[in-house]
Order: sequence, then C-alpha cells, then structure tokens
Amino acid sequence: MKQQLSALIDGEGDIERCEHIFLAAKSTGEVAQAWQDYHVIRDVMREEYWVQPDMTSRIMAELNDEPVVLAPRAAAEAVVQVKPGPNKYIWSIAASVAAAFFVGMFVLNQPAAVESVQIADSETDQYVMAHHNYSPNSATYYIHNVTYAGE
Amino acid sequence: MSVQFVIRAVFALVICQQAFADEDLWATMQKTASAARELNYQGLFIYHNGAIIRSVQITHINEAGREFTRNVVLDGRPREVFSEGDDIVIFNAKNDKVVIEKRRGQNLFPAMLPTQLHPLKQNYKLRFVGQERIAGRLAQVIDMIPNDNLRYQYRVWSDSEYGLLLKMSMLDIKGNTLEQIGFNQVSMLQTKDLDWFQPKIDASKPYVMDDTTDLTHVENNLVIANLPAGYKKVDQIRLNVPGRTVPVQQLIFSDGLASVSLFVEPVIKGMQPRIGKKTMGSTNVYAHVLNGYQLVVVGEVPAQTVEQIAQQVTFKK
Repeated sequence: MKQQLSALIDGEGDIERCEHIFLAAKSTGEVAQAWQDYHVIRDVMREEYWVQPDMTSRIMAELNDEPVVLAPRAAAEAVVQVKPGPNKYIWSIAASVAAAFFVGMFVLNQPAAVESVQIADSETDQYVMAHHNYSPNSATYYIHNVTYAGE
Repeated sequence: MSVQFVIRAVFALVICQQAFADEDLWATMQKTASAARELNYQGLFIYHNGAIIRSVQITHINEAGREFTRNVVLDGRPREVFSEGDDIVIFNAKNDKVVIEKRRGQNLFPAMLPTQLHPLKQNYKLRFVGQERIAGRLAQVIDMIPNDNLRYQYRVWSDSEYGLLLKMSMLDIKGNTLEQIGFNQVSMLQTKDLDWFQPKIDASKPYVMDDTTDLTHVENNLVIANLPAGYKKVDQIRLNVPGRTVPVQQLIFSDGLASVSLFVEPVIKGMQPRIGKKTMGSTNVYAHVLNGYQLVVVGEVPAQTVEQIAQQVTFKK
C-alpha cells in the first residue's frame, strides 16, 4: 500500500486504478500519515519544501510556542534556523534514501505473475463464481469459497 | 331483485377486492424496492444457503439521492463491499495481499427487488401470507409465486412501517427453502455522516487490482432463438480468465429477479470439454459443447431453465 502511494505521488501510478489508494489516504491512520509524509518528501526533493503550507503553519505554531525573545538578534537567529541551509541537504538525502527504499520495496513486492493453472475437468466453480460476481442478483455474493488460480 | 343478480354483484365485488388487494400488494413491493435505496439504516444480516452461513454488517445512507453502502462480511475471509451509486468496490483480504475488485450495479440486500417492477408483474403473482416479527420489527409477509416452473418462488418480509426488506427467501417447487437472507438486527440512522465509508486498511499488505474482467460490452454472432419465457438479456461482458488464452464471453439474462449467465469460449487444444449438469443449493449448472464452443449456463433458477438456454444457442453463419 505504501509503495503504491509513493508511486502515485511521484506520478508513476495509474490514476485510473488508484481509487482504493485515495480511499485509504482519505481515511485515518498509517496510510493517511504516509500520504502526508510522502508529499513532504516529494516537495523536499523538488525543493518546494518551503511553500508547503502545512509545514509553514507548523513552524509558525512552533515559533509561537517559543518564548518571546525581546532581543532582535536572537529572534533573527530563530528564523535563520528554518531557512533552507544545510538542513535542506540532510532532508534531501533522507528523502532520496527513503525514495530508493520505497522503489526497492515496490520492485520486491510486485505481485507474482499469475500462474497458468488448468482447472480440473469436473470443476465449474469458476463459472459459478463469475456468475455470482457479475449477475444483477447477488444474494449469493457472500459465498466465496472458490477463487481464481494464482491466489 | 333476483337472487342471480345478488350473486353476480357479490362475485363482482369479490373479484374487485381481489384486484384491489393485488394492486395493494404490488404497491407494497414498490415501497419495499424503494425503501432499501432511500432510507438510512444500519444492521446485521445473515445469508444462508445450504451449509453456508455468512453474517454481514451493513450501513446504508442516501445523501441527496446518492447511495453509499458499506458491507462487511464478518464470517470467513475478511471482505468489505463498498458501493456508491452503481459503482461497487470490493476489498478482499487474501493471504498476503488485498485484492480489489470492481463491479457494476448489483441488487445487494436489502435492495434486492428491482425498482422497475414491470418484468416481475409478468412473471410472478403475489399472495399475502400474513404478518411476522423479524429482527424486532413487524413485517408484512408476501409470496411471489411464479407463473411457470422456469423460476423459483420467493417470500418477502417487508417492514410494516418503513417498507424496508427485512428478509427474503427462495423456495423450490416443493416448498423447500433454498436460500435465505435477512436482518438479525436493524435500526434507522439519523446521521448523514459518512465517516464510516472507508475500508479498514492494512498498511502492511500490498493492494492489487483484480484484472480478470473487461467490462466492455461486446457483440458476437451468438443467437439464442427462444429464451425461456420472461427472460431477457441484460448484459454481455468479456472475462479474462487466468490460464485461458482466449477471453470468455458472459451473457447475463434476467426475469427481473432471477438471473442466469451463459459462458461461451472456444474449445482449444488441450482443453477438456465439459458436458453435464450439476445442482448446488439454488444454483443449477448445465454444460455442453456446440460447434467447437464450450457452453456453460449457471443460474439461481430451476434445472430446466439453464438447460433450455443452453439448448437454444446457435451461431450465425
């Protein structure tokens, strides 16, 4: 799921087939968190990090939490810390490592090619299942003891 | 006033009442068909077919004419069915992955009756059975009796107040229950909140799309001369079955309630043709070979209906 998210954010995913990912991303929890994190990673890589409104607001919030510094020099320093500098460099490296990791995971986790298994002669189960899947009346929908080969 | 006149008048009155009752029952059916789609409710229902029992948790909301449903199958393999309008997405947890399947509009419980009752009126008669309590609700019990032996009989339990379908069963010609689906518990929802409309995601598993179906409508040279009375072709799709080099054609027929699929595929080298019939609970299967094509007919209909469809297939030259 996460690597699919990553690919999607990088524009490599097939939008047509990603409804479930959007559905997941809209929900809460790990996937939603990953969705946000990957956007941050992408933005860092594209050097758009500083226009990320979410990030800006978080920094502003943290700044608000800082004790009020009356000396202007110290205040200037506080601002300097959040500007692109060596920090950005570290972020980029971290993001690249993360991206490489996800790409690697994506390759490793590709679903194995569906094996060509000839169904047994007596079996008509596949037809029955296909009928239940696509016919308009589907009380039988909840039975799923048979599945296609390759499972 | 002659005695004969009185008898005639009484007779006419009885017929009139009968017709009126008939209209009333169809009106109840119409209400039942609409209620499942228009009301907001949640509950737990049980699907029962032969040895198979499945509990399903359902939440349904109609938000400004748009329907949202989440079905969570609680028994057996984890499975969640989402529908938004006519689009259905299913999350199927397999051993190491979650397979996502897409479907088109289907009549999922309790929206099992079609909103267009016209085809049903031609194929079934209604009979009022009485009142019964289901899932803590009072229900009107109505039998749908087929006009011929090409379809099964159904019994419908409709909520007396809301019209929601509380239970439905399918019976064979001898009156044996073949299949049953009904609420154990149901309640109306006041909220229009949609925060429940999301699957339980397992972030550790890959999510893969199921690619076996190509939902494009196709036409071919297949002709079915005489479909069993009351049945019409409602769809024709192409399936890409793993292990087959040629797509399988699936034609779907319905009488408004019961449905039958006809599968057609060329018999290729190395493929063992199948011939014969099989009954599994309410489902009948009939397979035979014609002009080098494997034909398989499957449906929740009597054996003679699947057989008749299989026998009527011809190929245009």
